[in-house]
Amino acid sequence: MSDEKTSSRPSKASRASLLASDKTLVIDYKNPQLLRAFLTDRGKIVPARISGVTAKQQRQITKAVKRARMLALLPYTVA
Amino acid sequence: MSENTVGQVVSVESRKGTKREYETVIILRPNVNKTGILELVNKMQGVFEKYGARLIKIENWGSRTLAFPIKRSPTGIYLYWRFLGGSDIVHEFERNLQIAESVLRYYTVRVEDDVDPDARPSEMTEDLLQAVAEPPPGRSRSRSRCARKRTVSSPTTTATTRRGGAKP
Repeated sequence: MSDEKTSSRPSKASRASLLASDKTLVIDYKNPQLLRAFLTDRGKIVPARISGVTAKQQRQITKAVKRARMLALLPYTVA
Repeated sequence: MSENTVGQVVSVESRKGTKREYETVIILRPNVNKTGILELVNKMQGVFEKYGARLIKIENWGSRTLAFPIKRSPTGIYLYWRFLGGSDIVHEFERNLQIAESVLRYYTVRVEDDVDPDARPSEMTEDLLQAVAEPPPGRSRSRSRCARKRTVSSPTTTATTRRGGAKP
């Protein structure tokens, strides 16, 4: 059972985020195209364990997404 | 606020003689025309002058489709302002925006504390001021709507492909 769980988890390489591959990217609420990569189809924020970003980046993403939502650059929900 | 603190940063944490840098994004009603935008900008410049603040720049992001309707409007014109000021400017600026009928929504973010006012000269010129009323040439409304509808399947897709409009 526990073996199955380990095998179904994506490998570390596949979880590497685009923020790790491109160091020049800055997390900013004014760049909704970038933030969209960290949202699900439903508009929810993807957890860091899925997207592979660091805890610090996740805090920045969360703040930026919430600011972008306020300005209608990103949706709160997608029906 | 008393007369001698107008335009000053009133905080024990801040260094004396410094100002704060703020940025504000304003969403205007889509039917606001060129003169309407210029009127708003001129009015706000008066507010900035009165409160000893400095308008660094204004950008017009053009008309965009909103992710959800605001006050029943599906689209809006985005204006980006960057300015330097004391503790009192944001309150007064936002109070004026609330009164303005053309404004759908505004949001102010503090960018930096303890900014030396001499280090941030205003980039505003007469030409730039006129350009604020015109939407930027490279941005079309249909493209932003197209980007909005596109679903995100994997977080590994780069932002550059999205911006370029190419399907991943």
